[in-house]
Amino acid sequence: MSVDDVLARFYREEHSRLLAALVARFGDLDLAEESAQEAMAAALATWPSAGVPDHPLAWLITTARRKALDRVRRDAVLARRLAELALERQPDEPVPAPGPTDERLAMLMGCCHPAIAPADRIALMLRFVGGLTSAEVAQSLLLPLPTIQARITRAKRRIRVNRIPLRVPEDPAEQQRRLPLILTAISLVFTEGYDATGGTNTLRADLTEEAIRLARIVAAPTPPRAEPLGLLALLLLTDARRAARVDAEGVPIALEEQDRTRWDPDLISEGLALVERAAGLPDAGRLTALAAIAAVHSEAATFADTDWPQIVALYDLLLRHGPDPVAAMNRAIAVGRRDTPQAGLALLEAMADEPILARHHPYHVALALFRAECADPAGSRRAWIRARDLVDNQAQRRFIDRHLSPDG
Amino acid sequence: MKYVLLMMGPVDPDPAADGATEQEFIDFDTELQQAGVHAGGFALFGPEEGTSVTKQSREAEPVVTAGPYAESREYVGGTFVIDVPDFDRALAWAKRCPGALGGGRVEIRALLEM
Repeated sequence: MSVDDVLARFYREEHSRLLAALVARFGDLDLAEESAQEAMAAALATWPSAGVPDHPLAWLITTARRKALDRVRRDAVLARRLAELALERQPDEPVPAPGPTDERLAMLMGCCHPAIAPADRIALMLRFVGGLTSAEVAQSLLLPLPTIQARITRAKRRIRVNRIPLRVPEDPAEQQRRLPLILTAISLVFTEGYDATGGTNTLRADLTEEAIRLARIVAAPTPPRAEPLGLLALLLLTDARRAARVDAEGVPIALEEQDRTRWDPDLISEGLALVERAAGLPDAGRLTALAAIAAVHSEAATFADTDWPQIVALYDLLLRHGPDPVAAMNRAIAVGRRDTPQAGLALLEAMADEPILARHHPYHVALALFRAECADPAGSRRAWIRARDLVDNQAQRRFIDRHLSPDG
Repeated sequence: MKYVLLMMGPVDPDPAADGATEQEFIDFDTELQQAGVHAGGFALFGPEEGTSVTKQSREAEPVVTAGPYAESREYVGGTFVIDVPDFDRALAWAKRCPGALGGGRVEIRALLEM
């Protein structure tokens, strides 16, 4: 492997860990980010001639610490805080192996500290752990870029001024309180990679891989908790369909038309085992129910073989965790498959006033498909046109266009 | 690092509120001393005994008014200054502080050291 490949792989897989390790040591997000960049630049300059070190992460942490020290000595404001920044302590402490002690878990938990404004927590996680740019964070949260930039600046200042520690809290009840938002952030990173917003690319594998890495880190600690295991299972079972999900031109393929022999059997068997573990734990919730639904789809050899009664039962379970229009829509689709298209269509039509669904293009796609099956081609066409108006992704628009004019 | 715990009280307290007693504040002060984190603080007479001074501009005559600023809804009743390694220790002390009882509020502020 060339130095460029090593660095590219490192950047993809370990950059968030380098950043988290530096934040844990300095307690300052800006200083960590700047020195991480300088250390990466130093690696690019020296590794081609000196060779790749045995422990690239340890090398980068040590280099980043020296860069930070240089920066602090040049900067009067930082120099006053030298003692607090813990830069000179234990210059070459060993880097712990990945696992339960991974610094990224500390960063995620720290970003959800109750002293950080609730609206800022998710932006911080996406930006500093999820590896999204501020523009991607803005897209993912459907907020203007200046709002996101202001939130990140405000949160970084609060952390620095108050010296808020970014670590896993000792109290298990406090850990439990911070978990739901962490799991939401990880699913947003995955979704951003899976349905890249606005772009021409439907898939961004770097983001889905990072989300799965983070889900593994959050699911690793013992005793096991159901929802982190459920999220990891859900991401693996969804990612297993990656190769079958879009055609050669990048246009999405509906679940019923996917070539299931292209689903990844290793990811599916890992996902199925995780769902089983999660479902057996007392705190199993929404994510575990969603993972169980994905598991039932994964176990069907063909779309026709799907255990629809089981899927409907799992959506009923999911809906016990509170109102969820998208879950109710998916339940209606499952009823349409279990019973008759007319039964599914009747449930879907009854949801037409739900504002979330009115803007949700898959709702209109489902209406279009069921109306076509119920001999209503004009109604089907109206729904396809509405769905087309709601998507801003080229690949998804082409998927709809093929149905609007099947011969063109 | 030093943090100030500000004891905030409502200007119009709820007469039914079960506020902290003086003894509870004395006990808290003793606890801080025994833990070796006590770094100062003070208690104040009520805001109705206070006097406000304002200046419209640098050149203007100062205006002196008896009592608290008319529009404020809260006043500072006292402070504890604590010296602890990080925010989480400060937060743990604030959670045990009697100032949070009975409609009061404890505000944690990092001390800006010049």
